[in-house]
Amino acid sequence: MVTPASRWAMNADTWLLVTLLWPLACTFLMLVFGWPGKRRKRQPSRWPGWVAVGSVAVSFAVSLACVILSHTLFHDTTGRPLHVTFGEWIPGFGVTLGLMLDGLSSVLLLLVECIGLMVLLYSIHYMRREADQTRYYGSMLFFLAMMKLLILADNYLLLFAGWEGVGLASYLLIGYHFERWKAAQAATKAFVVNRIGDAGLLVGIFALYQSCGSLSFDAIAANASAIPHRVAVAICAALLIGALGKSAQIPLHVWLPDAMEGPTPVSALIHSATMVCAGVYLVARSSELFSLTPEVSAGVAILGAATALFAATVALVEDDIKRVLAYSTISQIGFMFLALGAGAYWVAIFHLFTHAFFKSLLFLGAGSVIHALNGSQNLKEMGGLRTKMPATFATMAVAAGSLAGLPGSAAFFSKDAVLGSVLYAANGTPLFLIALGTSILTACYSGRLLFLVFFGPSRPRGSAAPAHESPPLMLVPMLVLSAGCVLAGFLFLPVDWRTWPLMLLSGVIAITGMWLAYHYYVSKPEARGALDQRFAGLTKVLRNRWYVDAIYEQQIIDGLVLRAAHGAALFDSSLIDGTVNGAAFLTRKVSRFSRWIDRYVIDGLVRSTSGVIHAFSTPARAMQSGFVQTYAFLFVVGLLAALGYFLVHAR
Amino acid sequence: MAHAVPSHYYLIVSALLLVIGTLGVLLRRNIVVILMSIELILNAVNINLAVFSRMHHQANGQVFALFVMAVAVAEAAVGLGILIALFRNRGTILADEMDLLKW
Repeated sequence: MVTPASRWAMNADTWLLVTLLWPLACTFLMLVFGWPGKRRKRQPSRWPGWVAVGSVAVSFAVSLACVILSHTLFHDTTGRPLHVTFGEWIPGFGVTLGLMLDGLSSVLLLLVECIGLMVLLYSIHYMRREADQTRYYGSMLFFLAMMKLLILADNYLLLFAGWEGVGLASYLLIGYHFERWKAAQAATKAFVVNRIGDAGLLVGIFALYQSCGSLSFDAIAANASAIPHRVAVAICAALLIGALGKSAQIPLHVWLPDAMEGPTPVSALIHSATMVCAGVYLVARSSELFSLTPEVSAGVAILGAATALFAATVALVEDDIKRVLAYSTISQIGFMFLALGAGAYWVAIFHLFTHAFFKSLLFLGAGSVIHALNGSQNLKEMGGLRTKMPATFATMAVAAGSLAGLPGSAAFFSKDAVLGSVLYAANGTPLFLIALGTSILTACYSGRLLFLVFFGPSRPRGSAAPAHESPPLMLVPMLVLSAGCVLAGFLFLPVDWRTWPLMLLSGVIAITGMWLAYHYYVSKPEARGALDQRFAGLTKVLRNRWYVDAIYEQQIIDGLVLRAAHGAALFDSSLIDGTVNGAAFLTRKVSRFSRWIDRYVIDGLVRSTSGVIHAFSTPARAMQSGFVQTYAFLFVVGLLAALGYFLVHAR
Repeated sequence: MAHAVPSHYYLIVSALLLVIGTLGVLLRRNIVVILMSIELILNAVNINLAVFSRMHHQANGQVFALFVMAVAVAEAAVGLGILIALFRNRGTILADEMDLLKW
């Protein structure tokens, strides 16, 4: 390929490749130079954080250049998607190694880069005490690279590679504090639950290949209508299982709340803003398939609505600030699935976009609060932090308002678009009502979170006294994200005059929810006791998260997994150990035999050789006595022998 | 010369001398004696040469005997010289105390 350097530099293809490979290269370099690190050092080194921030900034700039050069953003219908193909991946299988940048992936690419940059900047101060800096930043960069692979892949197989890559990064980062039993457990749980979803996705991919003969998005979109209906339903259902696992929807949602054992910036980046939305991306990417199968789409919508409502109710009573946010994330992704099910794929992506901003900001704010309170995550131990942490309060208020859907905030527009899409979908009215109810609950729990942390009296039990504002290094990313919270909504502002009554309705709902929270948590906290008593049974159910985790543990962990573990133990102790011991026994026998061979055969050969030579050389040596008379004697003997011979034979 | 001594008597004497000389070379320890025994062997040869010279009425044999004597003298001189050098180095002139020939 001989192209002038200037054209090469202006070529979006090149930049697309660079943006993907650059973080991977940085990860590699970081792990090479930082591994295993001087862990005993009292003051952990700061360079990995700054290197990570710098590399993501570069990668953000490159991605931006890519998107601008290829004009994909805002021109998703008319613009030409950018394709880069690097040749066949698996020869004869019809799967290429190619990247694709279209409107959908442009939005997500920039979103991931932007949130990633902010979160990494925030991490520098937040994680400064952690000893193992390179492992953290290396995993984060690896995650970003894999997320971009997932977004930019132009076929399902490459997408699956990115999908597994982000799963691995998520596992590593949830278990960052692997020395804590709970964190290790949570990492394992996330990994195992995700495997269930991944199995579904893999089955879907196989079925797609079976019926289309190709895995490229374009080819499948072109051939989608040729797939028999029943097969299409099966494929979509399988893909949906994958999406449910990754995006923590019912019934595979149990891993996400536990994933909060990871460091807070990880929760902000991976477990709220980007990775868990991969399921939404998958469904949106397969929109041609899903729009052919209204049954599965209805299932998506119903599951989404159920998840949204379920998670919002649990978020209402949780006491751990990060778990509240985790359930809120589940609930909001439920909203996205609702939009997906209603066929409004762009609305789902719009909500994903705004959600990424306010939810990552909420997590960063929660991290700031946790940081100020020396690690306490319990809402009951917080309170009255408004005056002590004004900047954190301001940004959190923006984010919580956005989550509640207060008019003017980003999520107001996106949630409104979701509600509208559901309302106008066929048979959408019940789901619309559920979504409305969930919106009230959402406003309630976001208000509760905000008021419990920042309003009311300082709790005596908590360590609120030494609470302090976070340093600018943590506040700057939060401020940037809060600007995003306000502005992100206007980016894709729907200019549809028909939706204005709906906007009015959802604005009223949001304000009502916030007012309810304000009423019960700030102005009349004593009224809460009566409420708790009246709904004691419901509260108990909610506090136990509808017993889903308990049921899973009883039915699956205790029954199936335990039995499987017993089986595995038996297998291990009998077959594996037997093999090992047998091998050892055999080795001992063989070595004993070979010692015998060595001693008696090999050594025997050597010794007998030397013995023979010794035996033959003894008379010769005796002749070589060195005494002149011996030689003379032998000489005479020889002479006499010769004479005798001639005397005998002369005749 | 009517009762000349028969030739084979000389040959017997010569053979005896040879055997005595050989045994002397092989069995005596003193190198001086060994050298003397070598002289005996040579003299046995000389006797043979002289006897056969007379038998065949030719002078070559007797001339050759004179040569042998001359060479024997030279040999004795060299041998005694080696012997003196050996004695100075080793302090002995016994043949069985020297096994130098195997090196």
